Amino acid sequence: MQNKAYGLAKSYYKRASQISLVAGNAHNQLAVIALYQSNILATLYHYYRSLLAKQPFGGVKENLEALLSKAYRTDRSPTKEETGKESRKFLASFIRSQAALYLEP
Amino acid sequence: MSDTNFFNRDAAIDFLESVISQFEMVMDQLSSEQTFQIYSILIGTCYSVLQFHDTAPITETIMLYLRAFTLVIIKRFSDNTTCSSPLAQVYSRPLKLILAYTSQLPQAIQLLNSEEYAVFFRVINRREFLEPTLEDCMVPLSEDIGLRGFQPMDGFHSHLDWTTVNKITSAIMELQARFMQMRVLYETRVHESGIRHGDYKVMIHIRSI
Repeated sequence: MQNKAYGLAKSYYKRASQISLVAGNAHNQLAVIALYQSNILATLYHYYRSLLAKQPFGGVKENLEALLSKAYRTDRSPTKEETGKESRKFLASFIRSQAALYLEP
Repeated sequence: MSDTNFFNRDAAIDFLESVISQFEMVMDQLSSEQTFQIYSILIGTCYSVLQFHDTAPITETIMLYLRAFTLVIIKRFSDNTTCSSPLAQVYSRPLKLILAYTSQLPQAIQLLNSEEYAVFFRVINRREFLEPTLEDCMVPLSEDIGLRGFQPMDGFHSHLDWTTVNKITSAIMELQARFMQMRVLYETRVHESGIRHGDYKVMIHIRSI
């Protein structure tokens, strides 16, 4: 239900990201939607894309740091919607390694 | 993934190899979108970490990782020869990521043995395999990078459809630009923290995860 609700918005933001490659706004919005859906990997990916755009979204650095800080502290496992059982551990480790790499020292 | 000191070159490489190994073990369980996202982040991470330890833009280490990623794809395609299979669709994206390093691709390919080369050659020649997702990557070139010509190595040129390869290469350069930016991102963080570039005495520890 939640996926359907965000499906249209996601499709438009994806198109926006393809049309305006230099702007990081669309990727930030895709990250926000992914965060609403508790998809941390997708959130991380879109925050990176937003940050690395020629014109990064204004608050994306803070958003990314907040996401990674939380991931680093909580050691949260991905939800069932994100992946199957056996790959959850990898995704959790992967996200934490990104958090450690980005946040430390 | 145990404690890792990213300022120690060998430790950093060991860590990345560990992540790649674990990724390969679970990649069949991941969606194509997840695979692409992880590949993007992972290659950017490899590039960032390894470049931090090397003065040359592209080193033998990078070559080894290119080879590793190439082999992952080759391994998958060896078992899935039908390009329309879902798995082929999944791995078409990583192949393009590898093509992002086109200027280094000939050297990377030289590291393959004859059997691996034969499979890689077969895969890359599939026009129908390369084109379905071309639109996804068909983006304008970064002004900072510009279009660079492809210089195929001797003996390789006649076998490939260079029009298609160049087309995709041009489109994917944007991704390469982003990877370069990601390297800058990490280096900026190091700079902000007051650590001198190349100061291997300062430690970054990755806690047990």
